[in-house]
Amino acid sequence: MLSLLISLSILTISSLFILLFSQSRRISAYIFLWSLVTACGFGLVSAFGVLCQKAIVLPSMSMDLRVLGTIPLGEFYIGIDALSAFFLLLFFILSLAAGIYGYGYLREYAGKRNVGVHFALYHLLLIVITLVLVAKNAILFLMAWEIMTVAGYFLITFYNESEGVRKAGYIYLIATHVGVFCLTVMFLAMGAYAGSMNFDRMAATQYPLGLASLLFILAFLGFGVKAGFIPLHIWLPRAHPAAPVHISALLSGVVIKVGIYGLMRIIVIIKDFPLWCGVMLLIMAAISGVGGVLYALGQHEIKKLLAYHSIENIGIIALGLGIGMIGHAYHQDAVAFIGYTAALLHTFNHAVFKGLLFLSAGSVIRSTHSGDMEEMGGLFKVLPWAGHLFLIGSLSICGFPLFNGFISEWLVFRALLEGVFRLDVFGIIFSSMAIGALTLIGGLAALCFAKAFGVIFLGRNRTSEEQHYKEGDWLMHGPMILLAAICFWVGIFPASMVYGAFQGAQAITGVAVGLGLKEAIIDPLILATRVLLFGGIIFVALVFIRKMLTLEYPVRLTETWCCAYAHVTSRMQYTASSFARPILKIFRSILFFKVESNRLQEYFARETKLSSSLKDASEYFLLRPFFYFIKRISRKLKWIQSGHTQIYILYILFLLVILLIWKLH
Amino acid sequence: MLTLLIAIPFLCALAVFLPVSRDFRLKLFFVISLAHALIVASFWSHQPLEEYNGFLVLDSLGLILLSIISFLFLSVSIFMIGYFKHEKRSNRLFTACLLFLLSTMSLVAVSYHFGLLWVAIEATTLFSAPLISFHRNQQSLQATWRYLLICSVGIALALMGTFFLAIAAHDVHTLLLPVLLKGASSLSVNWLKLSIIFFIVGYGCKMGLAPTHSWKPEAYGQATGMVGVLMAGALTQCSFLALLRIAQICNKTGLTEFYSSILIVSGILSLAVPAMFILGEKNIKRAFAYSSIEHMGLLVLGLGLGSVGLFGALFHMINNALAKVIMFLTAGSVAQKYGSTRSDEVTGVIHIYPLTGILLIAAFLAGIGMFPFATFHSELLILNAAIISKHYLLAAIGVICLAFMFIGVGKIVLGVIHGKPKEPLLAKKENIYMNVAIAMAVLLLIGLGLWMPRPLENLLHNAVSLVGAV
Repeated sequence: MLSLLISLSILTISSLFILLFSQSRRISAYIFLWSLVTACGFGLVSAFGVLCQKAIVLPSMSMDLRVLGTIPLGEFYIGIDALSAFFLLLFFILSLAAGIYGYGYLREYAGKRNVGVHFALYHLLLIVITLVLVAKNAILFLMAWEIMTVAGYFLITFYNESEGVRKAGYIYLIATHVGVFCLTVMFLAMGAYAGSMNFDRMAATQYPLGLASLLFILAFLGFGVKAGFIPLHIWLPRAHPAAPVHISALLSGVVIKVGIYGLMRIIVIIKDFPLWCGVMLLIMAAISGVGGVLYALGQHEIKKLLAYHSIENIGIIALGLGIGMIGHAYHQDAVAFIGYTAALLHTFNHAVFKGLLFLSAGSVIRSTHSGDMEEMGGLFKVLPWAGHLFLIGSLSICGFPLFNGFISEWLVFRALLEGVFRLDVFGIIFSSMAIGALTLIGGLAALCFAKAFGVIFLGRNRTSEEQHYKEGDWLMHGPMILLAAICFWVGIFPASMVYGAFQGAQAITGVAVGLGLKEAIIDPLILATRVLLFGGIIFVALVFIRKMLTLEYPVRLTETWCCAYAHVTSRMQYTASSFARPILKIFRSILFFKVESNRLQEYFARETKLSSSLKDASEYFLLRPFFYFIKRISRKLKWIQSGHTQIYILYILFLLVILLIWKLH
Repeated sequence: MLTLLIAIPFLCALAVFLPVSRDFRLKLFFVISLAHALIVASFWSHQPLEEYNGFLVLDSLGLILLSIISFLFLSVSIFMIGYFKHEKRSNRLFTACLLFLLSTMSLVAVSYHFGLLWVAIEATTLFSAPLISFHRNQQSLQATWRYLLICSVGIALALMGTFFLAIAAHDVHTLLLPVLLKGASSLSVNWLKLSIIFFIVGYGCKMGLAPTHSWKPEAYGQATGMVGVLMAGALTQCSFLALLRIAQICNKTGLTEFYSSILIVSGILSLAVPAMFILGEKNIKRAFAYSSIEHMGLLVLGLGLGSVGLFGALFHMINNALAKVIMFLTAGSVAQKYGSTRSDEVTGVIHIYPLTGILLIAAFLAGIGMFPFATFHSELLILNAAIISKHYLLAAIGVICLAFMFIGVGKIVLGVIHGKPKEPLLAKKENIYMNVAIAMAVLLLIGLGLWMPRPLENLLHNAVSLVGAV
């Protein structure tokens, strides 16, 4: 606790200093960098302190901090339990990496723009996210949440001269703020029932099932907007491409995870939800997962593609969460426990590998000055660092063995299978459907990253002009290597993080874990990774031996054989659209897939073009019509304000008459 | 003391008509506002004695309003010093009307007699009208005329209400508040009910409650920022004080239910109507006017919901006033720099005027009720009151309306803040006086959002118990 407070105060003081020295770029940048490193260091210490049971628990480490303020309703009341600590862990790791990378990334704007304000806002965001994660008072939570929303807006609109960025930021602000209203009502209703705004008191209260359902719907709307469940996700694929890349990493890795944290916190507080809540979450999770990956497949803008993958991964996390809730509703504590563990671990893993992917994509964007995949290709040779790191991220996100994604997806499968074995018919149906969805997600994700990696890094460059690509420096590589190392670490030695996730899951269920359950979960996992690691080592050894053996036969480099076609250009290769097309065609009935092409009708080909785009169904069929409808109503009601004073005075008279009739008969 | 508070601004207003220089008038106004503020500050520790046989009394409710008025005039007077550096027009009538307004508004805050209250509110209407048409163009004259007409109708209805109250109070022979409260049992209930309806509609017109709000967007849109502050922050809340005084009587005579049901309905209407019309709006000042209607709705809603809500509403009076200072003064500062406040004509303010841009952001967040501004807390308190008293539907409608206001106001203000910078036409540099005046209110509102001082909390609790809501 003490180290967390130190970390918070470092961030607060340094953000003020950054603002103060924002004119001098060098000083503000140094303050930013060092305060970030020390603050994240202290933060990680506090998170580990809570997560590691064996560590010596100093009295200052476990205490809650409570300052009796005189804010109406609220008070400053914070404390770290295992759930908060788990999120703090991933939060500090990612914000450290993204911050250092951002410092390196934004150096090209030095002098053109006040980067100091951006850094100060970054610190502000870190402070309020920390507060959200450790708040034990609903009003404090809401206050921090509000500032998180606003600070996020100004970080996203760094390039605010561009119309698209402004619109993206505006949509982000609206979506998340509407979410805040749902949360406000939810917390007020909970507080009114529990008689206090403190989470402890709320958690000690037993809520009737009807109220619990209502609260769950509000929580799902409020937190779901932040987390990006389909169809509440519209801000996400817009905000991510608009923001500077380290902010996208932070958004995707942490900010949307705060939504997941909120849902988990509500589960801790309310505990007993009716069964249908879990089922609804499971269904929404499956929709988000499958929908997210399908939309990702149709994107040709790299950050947008990654943004849709965030939606997919939120779906996977929520599958774990949903089966956990279902398990709890059936009083199968083992199912609940494994489900929550899986959700937590995937939250951590996603933060790490998605951060890695965004940052390495940022390196690509920085050197190509474009996010359009169709203009890239063959970058593996010129940007080897970005290429290899992106590959590691891709393998992790696809759930490839020996990488961290595999571990958490295994656990989600495990939880769902556990659900199949232990629940009744109804539960079995939903669990097996979720297993189907998860399998589909896994396959499609692999396809999607084959497309992304292949089109960006393999083949030949598609731009006509010769470009000089410049790779970033160690300020950008360092954070990425850190994240890649964590991907490996968790993939090869899963026990460490799985035990961390156990702590968090136990904080959610709040009941003692059955004897031997932890071992039953983790032993097959360790065994599997050992075998796979062994296989991996053999594979590497074989590759090495082959290389040694073929040393004397040098490899010939020639043009690809193109059916004897003479003039091969770099445009004659698979594009991102053509790669994705066959799969998207299969799902045409549920996707709004638009292809525009000029059909060739003559014998001699003339200039022609083909383009495909995937429209977001929830945006086009839900939100746009809704706002159109509202606008039409608003326009139709314009006659009320006709501008005639006489009519306005008539309204007063009407009001008077109506009141007289209503109240005095 | 109370007499001085009213008389000094009045006499100085007359003195302004003497041939003195522009700068002298501005300085005089500043000095008077400062003196007023100091006197009011002294009232926080020493309650002044009643004067004129109990016609003028300062109680907790009055003190809240009086402090608001005082602070608003002080910040406006500082702002004006900067504003008139770039304004060619004569400020004689303008300053005089402001001083008259200060005098009459103070009278509203301290009058303990329903007749006197009515006279004071009527006088504020008269003196505020010339302020709206400061720019003397066609639209501003039309807005002034409409404002006068609609508010006069309202005031006339309030006069009817006062008469009916007098009939109801036939047995006690006076409209002095303490006497009425003491003789509450002898009031004729039916006449009282009639008078309450007339009061609500009448003073509601002045507050700008829907559907009598129609003068607001035009008047605020045409008035300069300074006048917008005084009207939206102080003038409307003077009428709210009248509604609070009526609530005192209603709670004493057991008409709480009767009164609060009307207030809740008109509160919800005032939340819904601006939410409907904000979406098509382009002008910042007009958007802020809609926001003002919404805040008035929140005030009466809080009053209608009773104790917890009333606490929220009284707190919201203060926060709303401070938020209005930030909103309208910043809008006025933008208007002076660009000659317009339309989001399609002014863009990229933050790139040319970073400070004004930041203040505009503050104005947006404060107006919409976002933390760290205290409006967040008072809105939360009022919503909480709705939920505690099991008005779930009410809370839901309120939240939806607030969301729409957020969408509408956000679009306009963010459009002005961000975007490609446009070259300003008039003033090239930021003005320190203008920014100081706004920054004062920003800091105060953030301060209230982080910590509520004990004296203020006591004052609000006293005021709640004074109204006697259950």
